[in-house]
Amino acid sequence: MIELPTPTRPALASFWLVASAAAGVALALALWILRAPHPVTWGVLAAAISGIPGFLHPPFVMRPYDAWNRLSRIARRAARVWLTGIAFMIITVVGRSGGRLAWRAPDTRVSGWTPKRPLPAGSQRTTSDISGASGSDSGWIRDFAAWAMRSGNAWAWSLVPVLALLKLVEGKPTRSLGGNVYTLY
Amino acid sequence: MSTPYTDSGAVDSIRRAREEGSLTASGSNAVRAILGVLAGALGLALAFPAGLLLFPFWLVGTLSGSLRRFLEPTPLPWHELIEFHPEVGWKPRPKAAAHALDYGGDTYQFSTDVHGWRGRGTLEHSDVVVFGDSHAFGCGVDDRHFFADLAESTRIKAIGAPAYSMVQPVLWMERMKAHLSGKMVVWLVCLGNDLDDNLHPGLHEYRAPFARRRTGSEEWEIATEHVDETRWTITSREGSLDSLIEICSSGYTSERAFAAVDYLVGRANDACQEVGAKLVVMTIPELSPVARRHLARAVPASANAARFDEELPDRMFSRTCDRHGVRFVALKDHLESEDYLENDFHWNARGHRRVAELIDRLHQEVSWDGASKTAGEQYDLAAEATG
Repeated sequence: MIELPTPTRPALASFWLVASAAAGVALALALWILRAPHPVTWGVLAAAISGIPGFLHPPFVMRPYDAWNRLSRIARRAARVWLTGIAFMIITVVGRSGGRLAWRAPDTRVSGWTPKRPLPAGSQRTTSDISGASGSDSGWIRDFAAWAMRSGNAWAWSLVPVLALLKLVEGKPTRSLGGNVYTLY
Repeated sequence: MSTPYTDSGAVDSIRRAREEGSLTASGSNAVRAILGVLAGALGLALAFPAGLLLFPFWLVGTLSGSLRRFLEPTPLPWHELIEFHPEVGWKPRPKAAAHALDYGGDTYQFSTDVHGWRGRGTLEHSDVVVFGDSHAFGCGVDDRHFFADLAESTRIKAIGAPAYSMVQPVLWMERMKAHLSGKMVVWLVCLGNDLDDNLHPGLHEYRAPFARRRTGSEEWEIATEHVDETRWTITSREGSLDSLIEICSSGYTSERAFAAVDYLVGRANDACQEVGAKLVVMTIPELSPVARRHLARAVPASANAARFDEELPDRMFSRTCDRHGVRFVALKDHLESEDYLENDFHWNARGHRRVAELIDRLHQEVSWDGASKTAGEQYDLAAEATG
């Protein structure tokens, strides 16, 4: 939701209406602060007048739409770098208390590998600690929190706000023209 | 050599060690939790500027997304837009009034008549009948921009459906020839994919009639015996510009594609001549910005880059039409990139208007006396219009 979608006509029109409404609100606020008369009326008028051209002829909005998307891409990338750094900072601080795995096993018969029990034939159940049932887009916070509690990693809850923001700024694969460009033509 | 995973005793000892915590070198969960809370609080404070930076973009994206869903009509999926037709494979659904999606994800409004064809006119009361694929169907533009309804003095009926090759129009011409008598028949051929699709027995899961050489012969024929309602499971169609690049580069694929074109043009012309209709073949060039961008990337990367000749299809069509005594119009002489949709391969409203004007002029031309002009005497209508 950070970057705007493919610039279809409805996407262009709705972007322009939102931008016009925001401009109207900004104008009304400025007039109200300056104690000018009828700030709301002027705000509504400005929003309506600026919104009409983009609503009636969406291609007119293409340049501002592209410019906004370029800005949002820059903001998204910068935020991603910054938030990743914060996540590593939290992990590093917690890690200073010591690791959980002994790198040198006390018994030569003890391995660092996680033992897995054989599953019944035909079973596709995951043997991972983290449930793979829920997709990456839904309920991941609940699953992550449950895993943290179950595995004795309650500290990992502190990562949740940063991970939630990182999820917001993660890039989506860009549309490619490869393959079936003439799908139904 | 130790093989711990086949040794149940070893596995049990690992499990016991984990449960007893002997694999934990140092640190406790409580200390980690406290450090986590402190680091998390610091992280939240540090993340605040990032949240502030993202907030306006998130707000605009969310609000405009909600508004867009409200403004955007619900489009019909492809399979709802068509219905099965024995022999031809598929045709547009009759009496449809809906929206469909173009390649760029934009919706366009369309409606079809009782037979499934788009446009206000009827076949019986038309002066010109246009056959073709998605261009003849008007993919990408609303009804009010559809070329068949824009000509000033010519009544045009368009018989087209998305994903048709040149084969289906030939079959429709033969089926409808009783209604073509004395009329001008315009055949829109999309150079981007029709030449390749002519040779494929299916389009994705749909069975399609196709052109093939008769076994043990140099003669061609249209194969329809495999066309039924069942799913086609062999995907031989690439559907990419690579096929166009290969066809535009001399070689076996190219020769085969143009041999099929020659057969199809001849067969269509026979059907038209039988009822006194005059055939005009119009080739549609790949001038859309999206196709140009893709070609600019795909041609240099192709093994056929050195032999790629984008003019080859029009030259071959000109030669073929000349041989059959059919009029030929290369639309590349009449259209430009601005006549195409920004994110799709089809014409925009301006493109449809220009095609309508072109057909109108062609039909109104004083020299149009029913005598076939050959490709060698090609009209340069653009020059006429500007002159």
